[in-house]
Amino acid sequence: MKKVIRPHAEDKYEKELHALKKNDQGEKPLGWELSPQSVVDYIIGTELPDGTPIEPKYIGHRRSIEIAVATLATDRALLLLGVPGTAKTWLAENLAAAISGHSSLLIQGTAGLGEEALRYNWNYARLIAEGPTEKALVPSPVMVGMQKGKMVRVEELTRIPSDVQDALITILSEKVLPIPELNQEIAAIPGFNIIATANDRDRGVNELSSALRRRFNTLIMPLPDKLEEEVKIVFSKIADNPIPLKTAAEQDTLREIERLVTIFRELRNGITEDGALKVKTPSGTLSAAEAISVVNNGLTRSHFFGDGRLSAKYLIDSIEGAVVQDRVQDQLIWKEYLETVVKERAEWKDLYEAALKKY
Amino acid sequence: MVKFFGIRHHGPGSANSLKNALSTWKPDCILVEAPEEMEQIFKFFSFPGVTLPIAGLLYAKNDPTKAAYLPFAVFSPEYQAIVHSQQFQIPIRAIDLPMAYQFVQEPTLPNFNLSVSTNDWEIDPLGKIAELAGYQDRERWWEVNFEEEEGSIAIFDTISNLMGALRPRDIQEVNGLNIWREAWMRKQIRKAVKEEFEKIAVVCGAWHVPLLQEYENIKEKEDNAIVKGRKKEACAACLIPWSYEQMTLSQGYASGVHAPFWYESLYFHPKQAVVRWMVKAARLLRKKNLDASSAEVIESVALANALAGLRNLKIPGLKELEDAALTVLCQGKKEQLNAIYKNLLTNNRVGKIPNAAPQIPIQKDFLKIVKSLRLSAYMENDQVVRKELDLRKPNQLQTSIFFHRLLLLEVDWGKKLMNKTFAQGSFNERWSLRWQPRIVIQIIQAGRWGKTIAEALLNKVNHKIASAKESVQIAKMLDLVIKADLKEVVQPLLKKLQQTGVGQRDTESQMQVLNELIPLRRYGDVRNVDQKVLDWLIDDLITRICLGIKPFVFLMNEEQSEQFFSAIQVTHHLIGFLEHSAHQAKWMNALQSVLDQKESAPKIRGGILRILHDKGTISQERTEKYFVLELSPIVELENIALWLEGFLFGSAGLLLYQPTLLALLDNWITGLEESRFMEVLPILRRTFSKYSGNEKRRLLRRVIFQEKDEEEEIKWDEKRLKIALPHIQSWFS
Repeated sequence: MKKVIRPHAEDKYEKELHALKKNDQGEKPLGWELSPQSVVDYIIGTELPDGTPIEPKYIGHRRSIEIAVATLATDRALLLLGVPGTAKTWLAENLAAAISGHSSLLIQGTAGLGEEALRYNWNYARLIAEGPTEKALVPSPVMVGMQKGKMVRVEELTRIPSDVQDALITILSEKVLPIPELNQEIAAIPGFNIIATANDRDRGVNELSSALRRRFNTLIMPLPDKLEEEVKIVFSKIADNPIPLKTAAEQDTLREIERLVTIFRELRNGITEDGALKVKTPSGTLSAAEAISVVNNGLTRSHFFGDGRLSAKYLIDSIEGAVVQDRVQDQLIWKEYLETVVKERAEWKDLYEAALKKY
Repeated sequence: MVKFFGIRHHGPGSANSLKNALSTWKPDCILVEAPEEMEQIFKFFSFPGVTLPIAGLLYAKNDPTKAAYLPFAVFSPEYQAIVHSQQFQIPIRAIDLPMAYQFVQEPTLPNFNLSVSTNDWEIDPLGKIAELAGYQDRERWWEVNFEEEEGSIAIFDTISNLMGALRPRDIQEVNGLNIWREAWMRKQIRKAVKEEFEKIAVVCGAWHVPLLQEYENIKEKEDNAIVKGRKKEACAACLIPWSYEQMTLSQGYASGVHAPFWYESLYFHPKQAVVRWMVKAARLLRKKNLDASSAEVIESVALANALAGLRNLKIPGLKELEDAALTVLCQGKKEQLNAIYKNLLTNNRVGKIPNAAPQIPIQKDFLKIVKSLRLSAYMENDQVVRKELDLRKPNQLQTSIFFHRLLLLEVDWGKKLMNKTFAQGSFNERWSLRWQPRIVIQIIQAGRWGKTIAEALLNKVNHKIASAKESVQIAKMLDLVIKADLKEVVQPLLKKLQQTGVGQRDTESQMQVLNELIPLRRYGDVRNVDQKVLDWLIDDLITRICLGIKPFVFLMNEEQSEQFFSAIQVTHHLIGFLEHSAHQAKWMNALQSVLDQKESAPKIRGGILRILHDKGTISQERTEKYFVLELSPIVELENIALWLEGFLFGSAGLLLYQPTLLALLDNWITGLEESRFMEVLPILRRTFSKYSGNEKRRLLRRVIFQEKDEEEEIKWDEKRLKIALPHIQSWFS
């Protein structure tokens, strides 16, 4: 396999998917590669009867994943809704990979997206030369998914202009895509469904029409409940960083991650983890995803410019970058946090000093 | 022949199976696990007019605070056994240990079932098995495993075997109360056998089956030894209405009754329960003006089924239903589900007992009064209802007296709502009523004080008076007692108040007492209040308050000053009522002294300045001087804001009609730096939010469009004015 920066889920976890398929006892819905139970196992992680470990892809409530998978097994589409960095895209990709064996049927929602991106387009050279024929047709990922019975992902659904969004209504309710130019229609075969993601922080970009909304089951993706959960998420994801972690430094890294996640949670929730002190909340999301990028950034810098260990020195800049989105307001909040919380923690002295050097 | 029917308490599946099994097997005698005293009230279960849920209330005759209750719903197997016995006219006996013994043992037993154990296996062994089988909704396990064999009594043999395997039969292993209860029950079984019944059905919690089955092997002597020589306390039983909400509240034994309405559906429509539940959810959402179409109900049911499949369940349980309803019907919004959740679990169902059922005297008296005041309709469900009373109408006055009496008896049916205005002479009272089963228990408990409401009330109040120590408490009671029309105790209460020494506590409590007492004056002789004593008390209090107020406000924090300021407002208002110039003058002087006390809380200082200004005690110029002084730049910003909050309380009239003050305030606010402005914004906002919308609009116009303000001046049409003026003048002369 060619080395790529970020392989598709179905390639990265090829072995796991293969093992799951082999061990799968459950009943498969038409067009699915795996039974719903196995899909949930793939996402949540388990150990198969033959000893193959299945790595957890999503750390959180099993209940949410069950609802997601069950939804896709009925004929309603799935909408994952949540603030940025709650693993919506990641979950959507892995669901598609597990259910259809493919996660590449993808539409990235943008403000400039036209209806043809959801339906079909034409190869204009052919269209002019031959007139409207099947050969001149360029199918969209949605159309391909319908023809082959695969999961299709729509990212950032609410960024798509409302009138274009509504093109999905017929597709979702009738499961048919008419092509009037050819006097034909594409009828979806079993296995086709849509997994959409949208974030509710940038609300009101293009609110879903209620007609479309009714075709989706909504799953609200929460931020991690507990500190340990979040540390686990960040730690498991930094393994994806191409810079290898020095094994000796693993313990240190875990400690740093715990500190970082604590800072993010405290600022996000407006209260210290021990519940003793209120703190002000900055404008950034400070999600687990941002924590991951802060750690990766720190590790990379340390790898090339330092001793390869993750320490306060390499973290502090990225932390500040994530916290301080607004120069004036957030800067004040961050300084206040340093003075009232970080300074008071004896074992965080290095962090406080590293931060102070900047001013 | 004795046959054992091990059941799950409040299990709809169990209830259905039992009902079928009893009609197939046709016993000639039923023994059911319930304290012996319950037997006497079984006969009322199928009385016409009884609506489920109901509960058997057992209480110690000499002290009704010792009480235990056993709830019954239509899906309680015990209830089905009772109904069966009545339908086929066969004897039914309650064979569990009499409550009379248990009251001695554990005097404060809130719930009969609690006494069993905290061990999950003992409370609900079948539920525990279901849980091990992966069913979070324990009832669904029953359905999947047993419902197929409809009407077969083989189910109960299976359960007996299952329990036999789970539970050691050795009597030594049984703990505490269970050993005693089971010995008692075995004795009752033997007794029934001796009476030569041919087919005896024993209906009991599954856990007990193995040890009750031993009634032949364990010697009678052994059981007698366990039971013998214990003390008991006289115990009475009666039937009371219950509610589904109450069933969800009962702790310890709550394993099965988390969702009574769901269980009711399971009992009546085991095959359609899922659909019915979802339809109900949709209808409730619509009532709240939220969209929920039939199409969505279909999708929700489909999702619930898919979820059940995914979780390896044959049919969806409550958890699957909730997940599906949340995802589809409520579009993932938890708030929407929460809004209908209680209703969805309980259907707001409340039971009913007809008056013909046995009741203790005070209950009868209570119902008689309720009927005569036409309040019966408020006992139909457990919703909160508002009731307005016009005290000028005799019937409504009586209702008010009745509710006040209940308050004194600590029966919490009605809550009195504050009147929005200070108008103490108002003829209206607003009550919020909520009927709940615990009210019946409270009434029965009030029964220890007397046979009628009036008698119990008198005894209880006299008891309270004897034990009251705080003057505020007595003053508050005085008001209640007068409103409850208890003329006899008014004098003793006033005496008591005099004795307690009104001056023993701080100024704030004195003000509270005063605020209670002044309104009483207006009841006058009609209510048998001794004016002389009352006036003496008021004089005394006012003097003490006026002397004490200045040191009292010294260094008060924000919260205290907030509370104290509202007390000042009330007192100020009430002293005005007295129309007594000496009091008035004393009070004004006292307020003035606080104004010059620099260390007193800014909010109080501000508020007092306003009171004095409105009253005309302080001139316009002096008010402006104070204003400038308090807003000096060196004063801490927060204190200024608090001072303003005090000064600007009430209506915006002050600012609207006194342009100098408005200009001063405007200058101060516009002169603030942005960051400092942000700091005081919350307090300013709080201050102005109390003004009405119209006032705020007018203020805004004044501040922003100053020039337009001039135009607002009325331009008289001279001609028409000339015609109208003489007439208007004639009205006022």
